[in-house]
Amino acid sequence: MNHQDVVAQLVDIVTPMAEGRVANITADTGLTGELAFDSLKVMDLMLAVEDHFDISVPVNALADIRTVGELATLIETVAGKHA
Amino acid sequence: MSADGSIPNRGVSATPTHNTVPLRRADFATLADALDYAAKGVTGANFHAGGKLVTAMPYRALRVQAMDLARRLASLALPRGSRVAIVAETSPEFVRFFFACQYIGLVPVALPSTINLGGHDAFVHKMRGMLEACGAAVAVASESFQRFLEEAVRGLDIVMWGEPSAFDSLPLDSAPLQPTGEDEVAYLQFTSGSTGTPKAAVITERALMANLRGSSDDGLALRDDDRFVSWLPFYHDMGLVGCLLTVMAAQRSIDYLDTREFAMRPRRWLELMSQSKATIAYSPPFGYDMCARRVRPGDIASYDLSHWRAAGIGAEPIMPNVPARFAELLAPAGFDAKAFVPSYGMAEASLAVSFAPVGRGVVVDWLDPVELSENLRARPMPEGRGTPFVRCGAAIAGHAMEIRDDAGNVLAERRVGRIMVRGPSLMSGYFLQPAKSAQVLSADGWLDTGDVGYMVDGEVAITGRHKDMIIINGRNIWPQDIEHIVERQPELRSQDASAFGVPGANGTETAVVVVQCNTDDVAVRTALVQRVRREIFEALAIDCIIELVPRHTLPRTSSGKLSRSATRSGYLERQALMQVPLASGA
Repeated sequence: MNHQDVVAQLVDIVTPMAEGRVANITADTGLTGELAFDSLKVMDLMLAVEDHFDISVPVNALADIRTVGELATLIETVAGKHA
Repeated sequence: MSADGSIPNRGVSATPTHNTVPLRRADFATLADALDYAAKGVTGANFHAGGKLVTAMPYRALRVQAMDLARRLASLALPRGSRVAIVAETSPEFVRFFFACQYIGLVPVALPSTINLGGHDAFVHKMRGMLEACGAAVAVASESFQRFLEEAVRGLDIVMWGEPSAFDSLPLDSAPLQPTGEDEVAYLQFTSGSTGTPKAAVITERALMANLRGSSDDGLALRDDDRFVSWLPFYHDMGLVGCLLTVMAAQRSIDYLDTREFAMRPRRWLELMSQSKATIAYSPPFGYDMCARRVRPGDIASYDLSHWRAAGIGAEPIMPNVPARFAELLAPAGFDAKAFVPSYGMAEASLAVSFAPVGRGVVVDWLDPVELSENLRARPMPEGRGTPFVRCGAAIAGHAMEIRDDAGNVLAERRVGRIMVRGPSLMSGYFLQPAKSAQVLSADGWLDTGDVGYMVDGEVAITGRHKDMIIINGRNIWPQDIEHIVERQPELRSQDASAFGVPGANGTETAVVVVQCNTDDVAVRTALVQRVRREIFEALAIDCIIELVPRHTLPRTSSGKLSRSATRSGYLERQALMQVPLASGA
């Protein structure tokens, strides 16, 4: 699975949660500033990500994640470690 | 084996509910005395993750480990009362460090362990502010927090910081241990100020133990067959005092679930309650609401909540429909609505101030909203009409509550005013903040809680909570923190922002900040709003409505300070005006 695939799958996960705030979600879309993901939404997102990609995202790994693309990279890193 | 020498789970079972020594309800002079006694039995703390027991830590083992660590910390030769900051994850390490401090007169301070999405800088900033505010001599955090801790301590005068294992390499000091005494400080509890100026309540052993006795004897009347479950974080007063210190001081066993795991999968709480046949668990209303919204109906029959005799509910205003919905949904799993114990408390009073009688459930007063807002009277209405408020019980033994008007006169029953509390479990003050302490603690021993409410049949009911505080997703958000984030923007200055909460959808609250800004350039304004919004998410993980207004238009009080309440009224009026044409056009 390459980066573009992960981004595409992530966009599919994020889109229904974004409640139409951004018409065209891309790798550059900001999860907080643009999509307005608060603490509960982030939990829902991580639950969906962990289930979909079958990974466990470390608690503090999100500290430097701001965009959809950065989260995709994190998912690849975590999945790679467990592969 | 785990780093702290606790028993890892290799088919090891959790500590038992029933103990081998007689139950004592926190009748000890200090926490060290309480742990010395608890260590004679077989009960303890159990840490669960992913639906499995990870570590069982009998109090007997905790005492040995805490004393060993205390001897190593003693080699640092810190003055008594020095602060030890612990990034408080739900782990055996936190508990071990907390109790090690108790054996050598050091003061533990729990720091938050939640980092928000994109929140790296905000977390470091917050941690640094707290380390400075408590003057930490030592800071400890697990391996995954080291990179943040390293940034936070830079330039601070800290004797030693690092991972728990680094402290295990310190030499053992041979001098006899001198545990924290009755009149020494048991711990500091931060009460506010995640980005602004942090404030920490100073709690002595004497105050704490009075509170633990009040909770375990008078409040919950703990029994031999009681067992706890908790997902509350240790940096929260309800998590630390209610679900660690009370539990240990009454030699009960407890099963812990990580807060993040609960937030992602609330059903784990109910699974753990069922498996362990727990009798007591606390949560803010938020936690019960999460369960009610997220539990799968098909799973309900698999839970057994029939042992749950005290379901503490408090720490934020209780909307009666929240416990009602939880109870209705989980009745088929044996949950008894009478198990709800509405309670009232605050970090400044160690924790508990009042408990509703155990076994009674939620009692609601329906009040006339006009009498309430215009005449500050709690006039009852027939059930189901008016505004509902939950009775939170009478003060625990040795404590008193009264209601006062703004002039300080004590009010009669069913008159609404400021809730004042007096008793042995109050804080000594806010750490190194005599002015702020004097604002809330009077010379004759009354604490002004800042909350608003009334007394009825000797019980307190809360009608308005701490002035200005906003509660979103179960967390306290202080307007000062939002204002601080706004005002640190380069194009703005202090006194340019006023933040407050407004009613949102379904009884929730929404944060709003009104910002003075002197540019009409749309691009500049848009960039400012987006940046502020993102930084608020990173620091506080909440959405916040940002309204820009021209400079010199924020209302002020007669003393020249920004008035949040006047700004809020103005905002609500503007919103109402905007909605009229929309509504009529629809």
